[in-house]
Amino acid sequence: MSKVAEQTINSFLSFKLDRETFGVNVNKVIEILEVPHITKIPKSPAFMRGVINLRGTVLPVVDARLKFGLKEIADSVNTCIIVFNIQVAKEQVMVGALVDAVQEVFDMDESQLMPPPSIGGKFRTDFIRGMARNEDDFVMMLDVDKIFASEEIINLQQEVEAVKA
Amino acid sequence: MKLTIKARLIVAFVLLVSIAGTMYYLGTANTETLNSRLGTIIDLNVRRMNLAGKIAEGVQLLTKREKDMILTREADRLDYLVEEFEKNQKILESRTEELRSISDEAGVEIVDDFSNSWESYIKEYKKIKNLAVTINNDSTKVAAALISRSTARENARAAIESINKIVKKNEAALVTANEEADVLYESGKNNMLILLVISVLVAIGVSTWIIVSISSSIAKAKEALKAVSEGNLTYEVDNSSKDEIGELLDFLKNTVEKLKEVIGSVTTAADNIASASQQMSGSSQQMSEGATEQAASAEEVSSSMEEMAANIQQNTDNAQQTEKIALQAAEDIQEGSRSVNQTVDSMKKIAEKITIIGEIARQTNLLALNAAVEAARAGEHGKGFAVVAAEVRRLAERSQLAANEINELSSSSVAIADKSGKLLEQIVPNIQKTARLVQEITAASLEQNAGAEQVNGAIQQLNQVIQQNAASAEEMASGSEELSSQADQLKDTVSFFNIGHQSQFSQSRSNKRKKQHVPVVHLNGNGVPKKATTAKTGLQLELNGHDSMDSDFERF
Repeated sequence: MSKVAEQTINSFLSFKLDRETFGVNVNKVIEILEVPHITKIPKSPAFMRGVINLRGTVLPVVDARLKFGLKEIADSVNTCIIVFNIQVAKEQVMVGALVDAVQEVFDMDESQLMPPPSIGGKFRTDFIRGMARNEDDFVMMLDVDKIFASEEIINLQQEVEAVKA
Repeated sequence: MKLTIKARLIVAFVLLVSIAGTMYYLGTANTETLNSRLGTIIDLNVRRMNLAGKIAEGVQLLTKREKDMILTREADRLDYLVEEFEKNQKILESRTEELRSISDEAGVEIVDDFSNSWESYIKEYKKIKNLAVTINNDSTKVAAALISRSTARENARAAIESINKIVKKNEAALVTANEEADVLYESGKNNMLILLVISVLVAIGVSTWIIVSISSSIAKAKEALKAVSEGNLTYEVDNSSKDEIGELLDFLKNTVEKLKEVIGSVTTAADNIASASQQMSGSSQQMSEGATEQAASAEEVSSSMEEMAANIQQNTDNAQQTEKIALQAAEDIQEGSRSVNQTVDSMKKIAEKITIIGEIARQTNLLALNAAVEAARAGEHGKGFAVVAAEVRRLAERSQLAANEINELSSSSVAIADKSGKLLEQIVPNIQKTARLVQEITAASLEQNAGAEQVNGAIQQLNQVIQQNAASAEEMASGSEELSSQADQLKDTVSFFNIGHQSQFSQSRSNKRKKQHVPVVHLNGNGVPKKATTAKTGLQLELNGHDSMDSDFERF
């Protein structure tokens, strides 16, 4: 919620998309869910899978694969929804992201992060905070706010509001 | 002369027959002449003489009657005499007329003389009759007797003389005729004699011609046949005549040629037979040895067959055991198949349970992650809990991995067990089929056993036959040697005939004799022909000896 909190908490949740491992600060994570029934929303963009009922609140669910420009695959038993708490225009919004698998929670110092590559990456690098080594693999640390900080989410929010209404 | 004997004989006989015909004709002509002459004599002269005799007799009778009239007085007797006289007078006159008719001119004159004399006598008779018969007294009787003794007697004598003249004349004619007949006979005899001589000459000539021609040919034939009978077939038959004997000689020539060919071929055939029988003897000896080897082989085959029969028996036993084992195996495998199916079911259940465990582990994992997230957010205060959550998460992860592994293993086990079950189920019919096949093998083995026994029996028979063959071959060897000696004998016999290359033939024979060491075979049963020291000609078979094969035969 605050920068201080973020700085103090150096724990990261790692998950997998396709064959890449990504990490996000647990500070942004509210919880991890199994995939329940997802209510589709008409006329929504492709990466919007729909909304779910999270203990009475409506939570929009984004397919992270589609969001990251990966190929859509069918859900497996390991497919989970990570519920993020993101800040959009100084407003806290909860968003569900559909990932292939959740791996673990690990601790890492910010200083250990390596800078993201300038070229050759699959993804836009502005929302990658850095690269971390985890054994032989690289874990890309994502800035969740930047990923979802778009009008889409606002629109999504509005749509959700509309659905609520 | 190109005439055949038949033609010659025909010519000869025709000549002789024609001569005989001529002789017959001439003889017949002579006889006819003689016959006509004889006819003349008998018809005229003899008849005339006969008539003359009868007339003379009648004259005598009538004169006698006339005398009786004179001498008799009885009226009856006189009447009878007159009647008798007149009757005989008529007969006499008719005979006189007959005589006249058959007489020649001279005869007729004599008959006329007789008639005149007779008429004179009849005049006298009528006077006597008148005196003696009509008047009939002593005086007239005397007168009549007077007349009778004078004129009547004169006339009667004249008449008889005339008749006698006729008789004499005819007798002279008879003598003449006899002389003529003699002349005719002489001429006929001469003719016949001439013809006889001619015919004898002709017959001698013709027969000489025929005999000479035939006998020369027959002599040639005789010479040729003599040469052939002495065995000389080189004799050249000289034949110039074309008659039947010439043909006979031609045929004889052909016969000799053919005989020469036949003898030549018989000689070569005998030579061939001799050499062939030598070869045959050797061959049959080999055959005998071969038959002995065959017998040994058959014995070996028989023992092999017995071993084979034993093997087949063992095969049969093994096959029966195999069948039992296969049936047992089929049952066991069915049992195994059922067990495997049960195992598969159990494993499927295990897999389901493991899936549940996996699910639980996964959910535990999620819960642990959530807990870890919460603990991390709690910061320093959540550190211990974070460690616990991480441990729980790790355990859950391991559980899940283990569950997954078990699941995979059980899946593969199920698949394998399933496959095993199916394979076992597939094996069952195969094994049952195997059992059936083994049963068939058993039956086949039994049949094989029977077949092997039959083969064994057949081989025994074969063995007997082979031994018989061996005996036959030995007999054949001795038979061929006998044949060889027969061929030599045949050659000896045929060598009687000389067919031109006699010297060559005999030379070859003598050469052969030198080359051939003529064996004298003693069939004494030990099978080894002994060679005799005194080999003379041909194969000398000592058949008087006794050997083992003689016991099969009866001696007569």
